[in-house]
Amino acid sequence: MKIAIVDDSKSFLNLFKTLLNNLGYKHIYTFSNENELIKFLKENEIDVIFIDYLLKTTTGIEVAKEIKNITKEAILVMLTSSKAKEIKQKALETGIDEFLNKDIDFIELKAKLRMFEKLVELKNKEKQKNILLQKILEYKDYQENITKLKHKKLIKNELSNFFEDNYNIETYYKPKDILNGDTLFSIYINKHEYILGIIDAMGKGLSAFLTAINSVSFLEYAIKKAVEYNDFNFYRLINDFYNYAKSILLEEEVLCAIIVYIKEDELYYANFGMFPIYTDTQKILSNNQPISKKTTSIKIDKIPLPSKFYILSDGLVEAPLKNENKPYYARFIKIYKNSYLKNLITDFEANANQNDDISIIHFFKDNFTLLFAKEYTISNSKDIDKILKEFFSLEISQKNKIHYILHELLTNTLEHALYKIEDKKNKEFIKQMEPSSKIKLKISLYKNENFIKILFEEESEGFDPKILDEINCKYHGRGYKIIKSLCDVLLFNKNANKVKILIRNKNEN
Amino acid sequence: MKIEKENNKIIILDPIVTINDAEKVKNTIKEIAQNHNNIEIEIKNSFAFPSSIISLLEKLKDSGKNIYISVHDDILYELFNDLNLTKSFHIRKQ
Repeated sequence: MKIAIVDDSKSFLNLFKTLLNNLGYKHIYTFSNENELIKFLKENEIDVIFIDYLLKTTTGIEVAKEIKNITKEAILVMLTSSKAKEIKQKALETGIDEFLNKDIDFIELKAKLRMFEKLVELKNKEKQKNILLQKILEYKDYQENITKLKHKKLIKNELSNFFEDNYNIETYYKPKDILNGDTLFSIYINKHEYILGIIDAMGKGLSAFLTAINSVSFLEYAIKKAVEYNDFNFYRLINDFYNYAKSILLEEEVLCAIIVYIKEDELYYANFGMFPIYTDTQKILSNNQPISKKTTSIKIDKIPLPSKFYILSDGLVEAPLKNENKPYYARFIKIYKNSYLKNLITDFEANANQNDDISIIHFFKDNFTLLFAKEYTISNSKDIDKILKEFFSLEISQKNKIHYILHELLTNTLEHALYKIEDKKNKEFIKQMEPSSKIKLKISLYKNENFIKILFEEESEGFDPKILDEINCKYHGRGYKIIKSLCDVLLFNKNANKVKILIRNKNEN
Repeated sequence: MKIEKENNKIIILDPIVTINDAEKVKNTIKEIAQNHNNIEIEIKNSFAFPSSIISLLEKLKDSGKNIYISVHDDILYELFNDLNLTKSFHIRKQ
């Protein structure tokens, strides 16, 4: 135990030090003024500090205040002969833990010190425990981050904000916990041919997570290989998946899943106990029991491709409403037919509390009338400024938003497609640089009863849309966030050189 | 596009329409940053505040400058909020 004493009487310091030495304490530090003590405490850890109440220039209470700013760990003992209750009350409020009379006898001092020793021992044990706990938590965070990365890598969500002609797909995935049984996937097979699905392994934690992630990995690999050999068959995929899932399930485990296959104008589906497919005209119920060791058959059905449908996990519709003792389901049914994903999520976040993982896939076709379409060839920022001026002078609803979005899109075209600036540090040299080529652009505006559509087509290499998930919005990628915030739907084609944007059509102020 | 500069303050009086307009605003902000630690921006009549200007302000903030933005347009104010910039750029609605 390390002990410090501050007292302006050197003879008392010597006496007290000798006494403590005789009691077996070796680490004793004495100070005849408070400033030396404070300086010492800033660099050294002390377990017990004895402070004389009456010092030459200050009181022990003031010194205790200063000590509390440096350490909250040390036991503070005030040395005083005063019996004034006010002083002791004030000292207690400041953080003094104990009082000792300067003429305390040897046995009493020994007992007090033994008690302090036990306290210090307990404190040190607690400190060790906290250090260990901190290390465990740091390791847990590290493992969770690795798991998140792995999960992201294993989930094949190619069509998270995707369009191809009039086929539009949006997905949303928000797990509640790190190791969860909910996951989604969306895979491009061919033109107008996609596989979409959600897996929900019942139960929580590692077991459900392993089942879900294994199932998705199996599906992804099976689809990849079938496409590679030009031999994709949805019936065979579902059959293989069903047999694989049964082989990895434990006796009491259950796996729910919905897998849909869009091929041109048809929708094939196998729904193993998940919520229905909610289309714009009907809800299509599950056609299979959840998969377990005991299930014996599977069914695949086919319907004409609806112009809109949602598939989802239970986390959305079963979440409790904030102000009513009801699930979100009724609100979902009321709004989903007229909602894009962003509207739905905004409504959900405003009205419900997430208490489970949420996976949503939204498919829709859009139906718009052309308002304006023009092709441009650009080679520098002056060409872009002409386009921006032209759009700013158009008399159309939502002109400000459209212009702002085009400003961001065209800045991106200028920096990446035209000047090939991958490193933004080079951005300052833009004026001195020669453009690498000319770029052809087409901008079209469409309208329907409720929305304006912008179709921005650029004859460039585009980019991998996956980078949008990893974007660092501090210095770069802010334009993408601005567009997302201004519009209701933001979709990219496969090469991300075409962008489709929908904005609600209401009058601006 | 009209802008006014008074000491450490830039007032954007017209919409930021072109990339050249955005460059003008950026250059004025850079001039202010050379002599002042506090940079004030009043966006009077522009709905747009391009990402290239926001990135410049982020960099200036990280180099120790204080940014104060006052916004007149409701949607632009909401957008700053969506971008999580309200606190870091001391954004207030006029």
